[in-house]
Amino acid sequence: MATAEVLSIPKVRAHGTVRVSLPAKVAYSPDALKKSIASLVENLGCPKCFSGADCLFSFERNYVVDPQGRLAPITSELNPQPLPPRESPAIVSLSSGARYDINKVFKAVDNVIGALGPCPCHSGIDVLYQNEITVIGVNERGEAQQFGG
Amino acid sequence: MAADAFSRLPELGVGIVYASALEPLFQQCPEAIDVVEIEPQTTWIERPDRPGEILVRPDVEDHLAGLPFHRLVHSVGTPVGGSVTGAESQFPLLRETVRKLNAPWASEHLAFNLTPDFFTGFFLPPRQTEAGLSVYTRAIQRLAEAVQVPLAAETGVNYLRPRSDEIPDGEFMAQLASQADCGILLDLHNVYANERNGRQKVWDFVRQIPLERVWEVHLAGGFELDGYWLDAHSGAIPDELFALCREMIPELPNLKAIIFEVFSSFLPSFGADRVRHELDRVRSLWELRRTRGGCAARNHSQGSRNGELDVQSWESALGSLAIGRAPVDGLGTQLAADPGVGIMRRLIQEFRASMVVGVYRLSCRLLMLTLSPDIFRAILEDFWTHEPPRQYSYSEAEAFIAYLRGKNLRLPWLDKILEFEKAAIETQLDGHSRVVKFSADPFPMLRALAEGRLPEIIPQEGDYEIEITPEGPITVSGIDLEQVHQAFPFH
Repeated sequence: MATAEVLSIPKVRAHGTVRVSLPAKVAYSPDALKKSIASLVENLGCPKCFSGADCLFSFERNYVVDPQGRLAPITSELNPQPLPPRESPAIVSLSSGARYDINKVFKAVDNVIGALGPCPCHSGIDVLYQNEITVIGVNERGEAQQFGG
Repeated sequence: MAADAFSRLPELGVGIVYASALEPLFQQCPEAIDVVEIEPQTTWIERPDRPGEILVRPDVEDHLAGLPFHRLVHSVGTPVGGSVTGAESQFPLLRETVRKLNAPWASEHLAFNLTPDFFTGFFLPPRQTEAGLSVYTRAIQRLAEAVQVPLAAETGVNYLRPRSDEIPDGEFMAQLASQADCGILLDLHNVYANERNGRQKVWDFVRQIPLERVWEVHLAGGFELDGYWLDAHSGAIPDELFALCREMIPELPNLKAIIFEVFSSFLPSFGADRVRHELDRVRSLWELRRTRGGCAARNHSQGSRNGELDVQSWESALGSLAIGRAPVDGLGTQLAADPGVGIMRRLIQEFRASMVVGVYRLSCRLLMLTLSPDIFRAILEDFWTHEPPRQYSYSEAEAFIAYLRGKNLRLPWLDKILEFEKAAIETQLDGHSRVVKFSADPFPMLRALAEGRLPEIIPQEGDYEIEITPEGPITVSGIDLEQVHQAFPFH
């Protein structure tokens, strides 16, 4: 794993309180200033004509897998086929027996978080979580199984 | 309304359903658009802590009222193909919107979205029986009275197979429009989708309806999924439908507007240039319209299939199945065998998931990035089995977050990103500043999530506060402004 560079960054504590004030519309929508005020409430209101299809979830799902590929052919957006895992350092993979059993899913998540140990930075995602563990699998009993790292 | 009253409605021309993402197009080529159709509920917000209480932002309404086009109101929250009257609390707001936008007529869907117990999250097809005609006639009349302008009912999409106990689609629409004395918003893409999915042929439908009542036409694009043609509003008008339109438009003696529909979430991939191209195609259809009235009203069949199943049983049975519940009676079992129910269920799920990720975008990205999209989806599916859909995105998203909190996931950062996003929403709604405190630098995380990834550096520990204000400049103390700019790359 190419973790040395990242891990070499000193984790020092900032002195004093860092305070930033932001207008809400900017905090909520980073490109808000480019848009009309109507765009800010569109997200919160009733979706448009409820007889069509909304691909936003598929769009977001694809985006986190492939941020550069957001303009993929749209007719595949609603295709629920599992996407290939992004080349992410930490991928939680569930065995087929666990995938659709929600109790196993939550148990697996709990086990994965437990296997990672306490985060040195209690409010931050520990770099270990991102860079030292290649894949965490979960066996049929919902137990975290660590591979690589 | 007398037939000549239809012809006196103003001729508006070619238009498009409003989406904020289209505003650059409005500026770049205003000549392509004569009218924008506004779906008011998409700009209303329901306070999750006060269900049924609708918040309307006056600045949004002012903005819409100031658009340099004719404006029409197309309601998406008070459909007229149902028996449950819970949406009537929206009537005064709709009336006010119609007045403020100076809309010469309004329209609503011939569909239902409410049962006595839950909101369905989708426009579901009405019960096409005599009983249905009676119920929906009253619903149309109530809404028309409320908005105080002529009302047109929109022909809906129906993914169910035709039933032997229902009145055929065109005949049902004809009888309803005549009984309710309303206009018809002829959504030709819906009718086209219905034909492709095994229902009545487009020409048969059109031949059965009173064409002099058609004031407005909707056109859109779709795509095929699992053997169904979806009314997806996803892009270009299919060539086959366009060719049909070239023959049909001259048959509509009182046509006043043709509206192109494209769903906001498809705009990034479809692109403004292609929207413009479609508007040009629509204008070529508009030029084919008949400019003088005179089409005689057809003698419609008064025959009907018997309506032994009452409307409410239909709504409960179909609504329950569509939101993922098991059938509980004979009708439910019968409907469950229709593969169209599966496609409705799937589209509802996509709407629900899209509402959640649309409101809490960064938090949902964090969940997908840390748990994987598949696990996030599995969690959503569990949520759907416990909670029926909400009409408003913010309410749906809040219900999901409440469910999630109950699961006590110990994901680092999740609570804080949720708190940050919620504070930004709440401040926009009530105008009160809020402070979100972090014990590590949040900006690398916020930037990474905005870019669809997790951060690659260890966050610096410390006391960080983000004050979210209703308006005003960005100010910083104890940190480089540049760092904030990187997290919010808008300047």
